[in-house]
Amino acid sequence: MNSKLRILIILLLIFIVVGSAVAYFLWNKPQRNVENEKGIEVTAAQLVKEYQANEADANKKYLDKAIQVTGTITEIKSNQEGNSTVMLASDDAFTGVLCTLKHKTTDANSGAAIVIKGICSGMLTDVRLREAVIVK
Amino acid sequence: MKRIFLVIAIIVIAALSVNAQKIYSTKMGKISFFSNAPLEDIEARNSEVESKLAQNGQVIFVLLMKGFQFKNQLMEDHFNENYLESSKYPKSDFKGIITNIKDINFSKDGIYPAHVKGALTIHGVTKGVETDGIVEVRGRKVTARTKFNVALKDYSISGSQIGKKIAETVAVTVETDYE
Repeated sequence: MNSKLRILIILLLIFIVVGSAVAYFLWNKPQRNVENEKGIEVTAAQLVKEYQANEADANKKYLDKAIQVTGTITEIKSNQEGNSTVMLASDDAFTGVLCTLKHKTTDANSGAAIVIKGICSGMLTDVRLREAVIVK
Repeated sequence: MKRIFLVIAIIVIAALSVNAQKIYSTKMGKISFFSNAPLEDIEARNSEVESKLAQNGQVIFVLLMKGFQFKNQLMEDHFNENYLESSKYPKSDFKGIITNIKDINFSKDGIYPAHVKGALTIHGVTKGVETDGIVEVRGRKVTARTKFNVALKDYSISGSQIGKKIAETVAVTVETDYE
């Protein structure tokens, strides 16, 4: 009886330790880093075209996924937090791919061809990529 | 003859004043929210908000739910998957009007109190919202700021983990610089 109780207590202790370790690691789950993910490769024009054709279908394909977009820069700005934002042209002059970069500064130039990898948030006026990094 | 000129002059002036209705806009407005939780406060911000503010008082904000960033990845996952179902409802918007727009002089620098009334759509549910904020005019730059509370049950937000882990209302802060 005494040994049974001891085993029970040991099991209980193991359970508590493992449980709190799991909780701890879940709680401290690292931030998603797009640099470690392989992006779906697509051109800015194609991405916008797919979103314009059918937003729901495009969201199924791209929403929350890492995407590697090739395009031409039309505008570089910064947001209210000081992060750089890069607009890529599509075939439609009124819309593009708007990327918020992870970093505050960028040496990218307007008019240059660029490859950017980011996480797709969906589409407002433009298709939005967040947490983006410049690949090339 | 004189009368015709007068009529034409009035029409021209009226047309000009309609054209003078300037619209301020941005694609990078900021909206954040804050919620008290027993374990840790929940805070997130979205710096990719599209917004327009017209001199006639019309305002609109549109944002993508996935654009909210948390300092904790687990919170972000729970927010999107359990509570807001962001894949099903990717957007939120607010369409409204500044009811006291006549008190705001866009050609004179200052901080003007603004009363806003409109409809807020979150999680596929639309509800009326009324709040006080300010419109700040500095040169050609206009900034809109407001704070209001959102009751989660108003928008049928009741994730599988809701229990007592998160508060029933969250405080939403809008701080948007227009171009």
